Amino acid sequence: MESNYFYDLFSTKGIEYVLVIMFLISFVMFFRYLEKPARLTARVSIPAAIESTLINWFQILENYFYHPGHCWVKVESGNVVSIGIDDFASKLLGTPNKINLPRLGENIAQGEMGMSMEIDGKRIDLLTPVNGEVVEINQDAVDNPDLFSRRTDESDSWLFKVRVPKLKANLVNLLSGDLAKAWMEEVSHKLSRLTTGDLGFALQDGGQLKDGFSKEISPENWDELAKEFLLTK
Amino acid sequence: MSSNELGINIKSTYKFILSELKPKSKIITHFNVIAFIIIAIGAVLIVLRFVKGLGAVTNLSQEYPWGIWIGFDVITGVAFAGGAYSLCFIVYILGDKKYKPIIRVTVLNGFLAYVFYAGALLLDLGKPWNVINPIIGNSFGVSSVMFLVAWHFMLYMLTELVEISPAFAEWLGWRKVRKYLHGLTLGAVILGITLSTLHQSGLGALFLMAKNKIHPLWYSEFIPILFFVSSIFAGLSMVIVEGSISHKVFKNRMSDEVSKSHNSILFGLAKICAVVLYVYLFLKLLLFIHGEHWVHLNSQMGVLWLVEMIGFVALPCVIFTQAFRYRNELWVKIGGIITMLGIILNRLNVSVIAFKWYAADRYFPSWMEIEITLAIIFLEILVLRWIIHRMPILSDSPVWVKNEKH
Repeated sequence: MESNYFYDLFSTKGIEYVLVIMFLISFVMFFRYLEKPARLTARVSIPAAIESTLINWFQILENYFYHPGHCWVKVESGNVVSIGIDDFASKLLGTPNKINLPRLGENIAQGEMGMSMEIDGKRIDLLTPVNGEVVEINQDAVDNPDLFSRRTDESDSWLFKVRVPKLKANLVNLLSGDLAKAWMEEVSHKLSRLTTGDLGFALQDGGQLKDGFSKEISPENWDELAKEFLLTK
Repeated sequence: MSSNELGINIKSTYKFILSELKPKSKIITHFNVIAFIIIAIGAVLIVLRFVKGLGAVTNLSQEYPWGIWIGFDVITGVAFAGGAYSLCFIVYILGDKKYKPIIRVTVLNGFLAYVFYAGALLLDLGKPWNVINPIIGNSFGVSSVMFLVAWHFMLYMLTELVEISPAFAEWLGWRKVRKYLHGLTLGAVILGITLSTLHQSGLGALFLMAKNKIHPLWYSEFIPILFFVSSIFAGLSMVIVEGSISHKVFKNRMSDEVSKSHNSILFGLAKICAVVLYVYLFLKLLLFIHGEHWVHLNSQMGVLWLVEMIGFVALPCVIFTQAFRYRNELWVKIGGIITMLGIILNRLNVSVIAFKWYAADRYFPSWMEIEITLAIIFLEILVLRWIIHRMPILSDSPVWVKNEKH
């Protein structure tokens, strides 16, 4: 038989309100923690003899922030940043026939496909690394993509500038310093596996990677390979 | 419309189906032998159940009318089938096409789950021939949640059949039929998602009237909401585990698209599971505080509740979070397995273990009940394997489908 039980509905209301507020605050923190890229200490230990060789394949600059889609961000002044494609992407793709950038005044979003390059009739999209409004375009890059891509100094290779209202929040999602180096090591390691196939690790005997090396690795589907590394597949 | 107008040649279709009935691989394998033995014994026991009655094969009684056939087959099985509506919502409503490569296999899994577990329900009914009553109107029973469950199961099976039917039409080479069925897909998806929200929670609502029979740590007026929320991560965990197994077992049937997107999909699902588990944990905590249930913790049931919450809700939430952040596939799979075990534990706690927990004589399933449950599961796996080996579920659609799109 069901017994009558009267309980005070309000006896735990205070704790419940506190719990709900704690949940709302903690959920924001939890979600930000979930989205934050973890420190990339490679699961596969790379032999020390190879480490410096691999990292030397591609330039990682100090005070630059890197997006996993291989674009870099440099803070210019205030909340304006310049954006370019990193050494890896530049060598991966080679000389473009055309560079398509977002328009002046256009709003771009972090992680979205906001620019592209046309190479040998194929279009390769690239992810934009920050949220903000485009305030300046490097017209030289747009007019002379072949000359632009031959620049040896990455720091001089900006493509466009963006005003980023929430700069700090955007930079939190990007890689810099040791984290960027560890990430580039992992990318190089992944690339190394493609070039050595099932041999496992093979010491590279020096020399530089050819520009547009994606075509050397996979002549038929170089664009698909490029998209896989650039995260636009 | 005649078969000619639909572009169907009945004779050649019949010959094709006969040819497809031949086994595609070795019959005598370890898995097949075990499966056939279990199914054969299960078949004998099912005949015994219908000839001699429930008492001959089960430990069910007036005190415990629902056992593992309801608690595990129906209630847990339907929770695991929740991956279909969750994924359809993500792909078709939220527009995240990343998960599209696995939509077909997930919907097929969901369809087979409902068919087999609704079938399993028939085993548990004292008068199985009455199952048609809520449908045909011979005593609808509109005041019962069972009415909703009956109609929803039937409608949902039909909508999932419509969603998966283009794959059947592609297999049979019925081009016009495929075109019509494809046109119905979006409507079926919307109906399927709508139905699922109600019957996932409806299964929880079945327990609302058993207030004094279910332990306070599990009983709540919000059981329907808890069942619905938990069905999201239950279904997606099932997709993770089943997808990982399929990735190995059906590797040679898998299209490039499915194969290459596997890891990316795995991590995406891990992220969603982590978030929903986090929300579910707080919902349970809120109800715990609201009902002042801390008084119950110092007991066997209290320990069981803590094991469920900490070991099978909080822990997989942490595992999924770290697995996503570190992009670790192994941990995603481990999180999936623990979550699935947690759902089994939760559903069994609500329906069996914490049900009349105070009674001196408790229910424990007989070996025959367990055997029949296993037989149903193995039969479902064999049917799934048969379909995947022949139809474009994991593999690409035929070339004529892509040509039609252009």
